[in-house]
Amino acid sequence: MKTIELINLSKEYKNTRALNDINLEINKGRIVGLLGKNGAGKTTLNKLITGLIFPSAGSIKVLGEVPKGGQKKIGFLSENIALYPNLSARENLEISILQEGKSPKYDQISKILKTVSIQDTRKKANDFSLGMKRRLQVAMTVLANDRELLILDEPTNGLDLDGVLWLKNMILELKNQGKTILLSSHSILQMEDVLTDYIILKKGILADSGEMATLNEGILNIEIRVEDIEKGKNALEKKGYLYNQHGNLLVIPVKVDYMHYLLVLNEEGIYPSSYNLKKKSLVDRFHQYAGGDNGD
Amino acid sequence: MVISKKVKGEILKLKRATEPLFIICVFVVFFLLMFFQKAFNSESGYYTPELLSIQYMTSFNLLLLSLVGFIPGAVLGACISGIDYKHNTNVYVIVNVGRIQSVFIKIKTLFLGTMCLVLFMTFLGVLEGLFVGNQRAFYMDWKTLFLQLICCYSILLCSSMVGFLGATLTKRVYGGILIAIVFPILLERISIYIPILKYFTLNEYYASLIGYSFKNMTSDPQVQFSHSTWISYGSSVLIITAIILSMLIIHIIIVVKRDFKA
Repeated sequence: MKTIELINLSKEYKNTRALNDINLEINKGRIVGLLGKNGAGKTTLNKLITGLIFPSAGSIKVLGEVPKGGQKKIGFLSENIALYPNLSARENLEISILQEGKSPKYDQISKILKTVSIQDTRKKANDFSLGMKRRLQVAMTVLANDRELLILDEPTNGLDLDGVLWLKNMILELKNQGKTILLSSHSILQMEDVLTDYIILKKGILADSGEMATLNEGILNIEIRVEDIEKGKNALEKKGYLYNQHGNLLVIPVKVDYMHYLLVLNEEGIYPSSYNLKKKSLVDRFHQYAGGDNGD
Repeated sequence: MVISKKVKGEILKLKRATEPLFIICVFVVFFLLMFFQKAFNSESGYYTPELLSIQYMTSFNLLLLSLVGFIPGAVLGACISGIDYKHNTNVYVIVNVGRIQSVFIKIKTLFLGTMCLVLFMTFLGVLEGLFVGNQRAFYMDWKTLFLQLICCYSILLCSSMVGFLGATLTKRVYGGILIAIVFPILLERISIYIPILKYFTLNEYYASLIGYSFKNMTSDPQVQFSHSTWISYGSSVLIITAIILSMLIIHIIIVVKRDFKA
């Protein structure tokens, strides 16, 4: 079942095109990492999906509806702190529940606050540390009300290592509950292992997307250890292959089946003592598709 | 009156907010000054016995609210609308509640807030009358009170709507307050030089409403207020209602069309 469907989606701000002709589908229960440098269009995409802004062209459907806000199926954690600073953590959560038209229960709120490790429930939100503000915001967005789709924009902002681990566990728990999560983060590496899919944006264009499982199958480099390094280099140069040398190690970017490089060396009478395959990671993919300066 | 949970949420947002607290304090001080200034005015002397009635005290309070109520009204309207812009919490309002529904919830809160203020001043007047009324029998001209309540509520609601719309336009609480308080004064000053403009100033309609509603106060020479007679009470109420509705429609259009920050 499609949770998010974007067709030729574009968004312009005055003279800037923030998103250009995006086509994308996200299915139910997926945890999707949204990657891109600053200004790549991540937040714009998040805001379009939540209905905070409208597209300049193209169409967008979230859970079968055009998002205009008030769907009660989407939870959005914005990258900026969004809390009522004069109110306590408990009161902030009460507002989230009241907005849903429900009565806030004392025990329910206590349980949520315990989950996000906020002990001082009477302290004003303004007096919280950045990390605690973030935890409270997560509680208001993710835990206060039941949501099918969660958009988490830079959820790790302000969180320490413990906080990131806590968030990661929470995302895994939500994944088990069948929630769909779109996660954009600068420190996506910390979240890489919880993702099922990835999307890379570059200057408002969809540069790459796919499943993490497929991504991990891809081989980036082969590292071959040979006794006679000069002989090995000559064999590769003869075939016109690019390589890097690290001592007795030849590092070759894999363009064809990796076995081919071993065969080339064998043909020249070189028998590697060992070889190692370096698989592609999200970082490699990110550098490949979103590399360059900010947004370039 | 049953307050919906969503309206309760809006009221909770204003708890401990600095702007309403500040303005309530200013208004209370102002009210007390007005009240005691008259009581201790050497020229008027103390309240004359014939004025010390429940009817008079209630009318006095409502007149006071009609004359200066635009200040708390503007602050209330600007706070209800602007608080979510101020704290970046429009994210929750738009995503959880929805665009049009959020406007109606805020409007309901505004109606409720202004109504509470009017009723509070009315009951305060009754209490004052009971305490200082020299054990007179309770008497109230209900028709006069009704007209005064309508007048006071219309003025307060209209002022708060200006603040409400102003805060949405500027995306700032203080932007709304400034527009609601400064703009009518400015327009009135300009209308001195361009007389045609006076027909577009809210104060003209407010003056007309006050003039018709508070006729019973004219027996007190110390209470003076300008009132316009070029337009009837009913027409003034209708025009103010039309202005409130127009502001509501403009507000809805802005919220429905606007791109929100996150």
